[in-house]
Amino acid sequence: MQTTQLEQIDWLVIGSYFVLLLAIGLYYRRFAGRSLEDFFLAGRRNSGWANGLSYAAAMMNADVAPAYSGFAVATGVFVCWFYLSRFGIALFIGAMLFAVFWRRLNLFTTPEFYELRFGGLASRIIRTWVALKSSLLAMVAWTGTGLLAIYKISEPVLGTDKTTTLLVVIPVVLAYVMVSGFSGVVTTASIQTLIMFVGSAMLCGIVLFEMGGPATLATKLQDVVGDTALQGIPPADHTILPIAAALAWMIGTSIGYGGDTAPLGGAMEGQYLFSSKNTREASKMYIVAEVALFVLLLLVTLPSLGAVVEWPELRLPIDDPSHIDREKAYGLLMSKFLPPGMLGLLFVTMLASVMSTIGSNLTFGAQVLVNDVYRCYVRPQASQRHYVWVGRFAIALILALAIVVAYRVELIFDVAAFMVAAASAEMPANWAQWWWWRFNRWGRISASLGGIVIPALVWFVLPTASWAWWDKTYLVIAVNTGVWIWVTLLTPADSPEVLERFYRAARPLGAWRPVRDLAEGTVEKETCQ
Amino acid sequence: MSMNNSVKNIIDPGNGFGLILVGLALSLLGAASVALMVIGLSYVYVGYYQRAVLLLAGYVFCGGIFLKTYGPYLQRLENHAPWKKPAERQPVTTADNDGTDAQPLPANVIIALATAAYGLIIVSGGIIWTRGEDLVLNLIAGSSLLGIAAIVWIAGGRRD
Repeated sequence: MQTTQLEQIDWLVIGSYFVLLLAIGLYYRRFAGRSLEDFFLAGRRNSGWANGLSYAAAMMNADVAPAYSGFAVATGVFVCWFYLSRFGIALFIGAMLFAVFWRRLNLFTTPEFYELRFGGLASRIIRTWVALKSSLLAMVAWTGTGLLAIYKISEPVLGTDKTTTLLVVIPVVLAYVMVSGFSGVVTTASIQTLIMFVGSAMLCGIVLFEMGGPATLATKLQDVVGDTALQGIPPADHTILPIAAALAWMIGTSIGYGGDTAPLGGAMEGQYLFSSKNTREASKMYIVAEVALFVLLLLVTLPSLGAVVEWPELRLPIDDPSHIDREKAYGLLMSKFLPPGMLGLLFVTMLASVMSTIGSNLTFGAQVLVNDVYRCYVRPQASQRHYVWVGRFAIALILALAIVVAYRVELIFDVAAFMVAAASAEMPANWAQWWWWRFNRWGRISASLGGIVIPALVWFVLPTASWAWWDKTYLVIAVNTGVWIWVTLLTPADSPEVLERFYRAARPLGAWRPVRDLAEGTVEKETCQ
Repeated sequence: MSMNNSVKNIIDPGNGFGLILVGLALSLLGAASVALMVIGLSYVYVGYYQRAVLLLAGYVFCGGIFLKTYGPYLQRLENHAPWKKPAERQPVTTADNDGTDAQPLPANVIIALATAAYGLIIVSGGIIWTRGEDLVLNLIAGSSLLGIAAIVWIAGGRRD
């Protein structure tokens, strides 16, 4: 395979990036090793802006640049609706309606919520299931795709095979994450976000300059694609991103968002919320993350408009002999327009997008594995030092399993599509567990099970092959919501003691009148803290 | 469930449905302002300046209202569910530390120093190994990182 020629300055930029990560990891070693809370929650001292920048980087995986650039080639200016619809309202809902309450609970991990909210054996099972699902399924899958993505970036630039790539990258990731814990992950991810800003902005500017400026780019784009590419709103009849699809993304991801901070989709928001220094900083985290993420995605997608002009073959049908894979648009732009130094910086930008995600995945997965499985079932009364070391071992375990995924999976989207589909159906139940006292453990269990069974039925068993995917999504959400409401009303409410304990700890909004009356009329009891 | 309607020890004056509705409305406002910013900047990139100015003005207007109402709204949420700062923990002695409760430097300081160092490396490498346009681009990238580092240092310091 032909590779891009890197020069001395590119190697300096790449090498110094790795040195920087290791140096920061070593700096935090002393502080991270003091206790579980220091290791996994950075001592609960983080500010909203640092957590927000870090979370933005964690949401930017390596598939984002090629995939979103590919979408931009196929759509145009309105590609932004692909991410505006998915995260635009959702993250603000998290900021305005849930961050304050999550942080107030002062939990150590998100799965602890289920035991606090529902109580009893069933909730212990939910907690364990969520912990295992998050750490050994979701985090392994996402980390594995991240490793695969690093190889897919490195191969065309460095010409290295998969094993060589992983042998270089894994020791660095392992070293700085295991040594520094969440403090190091947040700091390095924030720096990675800033590097991504500069790297992406440079390519954005260079491409615009080479195209002859904004007006010339627009004229050329109109000649190649037509007026559609310059629309700000998705057209109703677009084959890839019609307005109906954007609307479905918006509804599917916004309703229920914030009520659960460790969905199967891979988000590890709980760790960012619980590590915030107070409720306000937890809320700010979401807003900073959204703005930073959107600016990054804007900078990544806009240069692809130039790629359409430069290589019109990117838009040809896949069976056309001259067709070029549209997901190669970003790589083509990098190879053609970037001078020495900038090429190294863009390579680092893409590495940064993956390594920040992997770092967050590993600390989150290890945190729930140690706290919600090992500490509950294996060694409940060990020392902090013992748990920190088990946490480090868990990081290595998740990374080892992820390496297996990286060797087994060829297409990043195969995994991504499965994970997202499995997460979407139970979203509305996440609001119910905060805003409706009557929603009980059986409703929660049925929502989780329905989230797996109902999508499988709709996608693979029922005759819905001719349906648009957004119609199937609406059906799945409606049926699953009907099921868990029905199950909830047919089964008894959770015990008054459990509900009162949760109410006192969270002071939730919504329909809690009977529990509030109970709490007002009883003597002060021990809360769950 | 036996529910007691005593008015003693009232801990919550309302059910918070109003706060949910206001929160949803503010979420829509915030999302709208960010969407206007993103589409406005996209139009700048393709030279549709009139539309861009209109959208960016909308962004400033909506964003301004959002920022004005964000603080008071959070205050209302905190009145509904007051924040209780957990007790300070005692330092723990492990193999990795001596039990002193030394804190790491503020995150903004470390982020600013590391970003500045990286910017300097790019500037230095550019000066040593590149010429002409390539040198200019490396200098722009390196100095951008230095500028961002300065902003992080100053702005982060104020907030922390």
